[in-house]
Amino acid sequence: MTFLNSARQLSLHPFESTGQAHILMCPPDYFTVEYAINPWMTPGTADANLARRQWDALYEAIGQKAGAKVHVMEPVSGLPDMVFTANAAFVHHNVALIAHYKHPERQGEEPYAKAWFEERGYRTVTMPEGMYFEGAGDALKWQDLVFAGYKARTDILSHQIITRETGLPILSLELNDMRFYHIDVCICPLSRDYFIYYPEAFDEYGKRVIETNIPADKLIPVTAEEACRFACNAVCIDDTVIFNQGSDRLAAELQARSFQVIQVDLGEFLKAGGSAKCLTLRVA
Amino acid sequence: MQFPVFAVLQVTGHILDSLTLSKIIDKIQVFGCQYQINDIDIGHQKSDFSSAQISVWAETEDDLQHILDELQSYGVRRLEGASSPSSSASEQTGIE
Repeated sequence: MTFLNSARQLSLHPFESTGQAHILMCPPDYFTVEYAINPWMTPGTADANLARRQWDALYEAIGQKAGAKVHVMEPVSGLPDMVFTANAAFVHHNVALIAHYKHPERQGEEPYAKAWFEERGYRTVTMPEGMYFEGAGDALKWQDLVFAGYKARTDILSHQIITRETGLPILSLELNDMRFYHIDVCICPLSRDYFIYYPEAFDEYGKRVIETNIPADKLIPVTAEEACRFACNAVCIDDTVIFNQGSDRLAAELQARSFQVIQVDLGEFLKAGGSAKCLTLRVA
Repeated sequence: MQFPVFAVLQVTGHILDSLTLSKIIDKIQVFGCQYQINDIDIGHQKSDFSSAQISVWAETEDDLQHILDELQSYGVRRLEGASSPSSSASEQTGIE
């Protein structure tokens, strides 16, 4: 069964001609922990002022230190998790597959994401009603493959739509531990084909899929403690890797492989179950 | 042991490279059901989907519903109106 028609509509987006990474972020003007849709959340625990300072530090790390172009979308009152732009869409060249969130608390974000991409010339794709898909939080590219999570927040059938629209093959990985409810909390593809992952987030099938497809010398496992500090939820721009503070062992492993590491205190966002990668979406 | 309750299941996707088909088969067996793979269509390119049609036999309707509920998250759907193949598991044991 070959899907070619939609994938033929792929073309480079103008952002891709700049030679610079383009990252979408959303300021935490309305960020708070208002509800609990993952085990990390306790309503009322986030400090808004501290969150702002932490977000600003991440923004600076990505834009100034790592050299990416940062696009900032307008936050919306009543949508506190809009700050987690990773989930807004999965982007491949000029196509943006827009998220359809499992939880009603986040579904209000969907039209804003769709509008943002359409205003910038992307072709948007929306999932059928009832089919959940949480964007680049649950689909990450490595070489010409996509590692995509399912069950916790995303339906496995959405993976077929990703392939249909982008031509990219998918490796589907089941997520059963609700602490690691998106694939981007469990893995992080890096430059030069390196791959951070937390093995215990996966069942035996998932571990085998990862370890079969990624060369052993490119795999960098993290410890349970590092995983719970969201070390896998990292942003990689060229050879710069940015993640939440407190994972010095992992930082040393990366530095030994010639990566530059920036650790940023993102503790207020961990209270909502997100960290560096969740706060960003690479759009080019 | 008799397995009088029957269904035909269909699953499509990257079911081979993702080991999804293996997981489905293993779960059918863990649930104590019998199965037979009727057909597999293997994609040629990495981006192609593969599909499989699987006959499943269970001892009771509840057992069958339990396995159907479990397999739903893997994209498995039941084909309505399918009839049991002539070599059914109610007459044999250990069909593969």
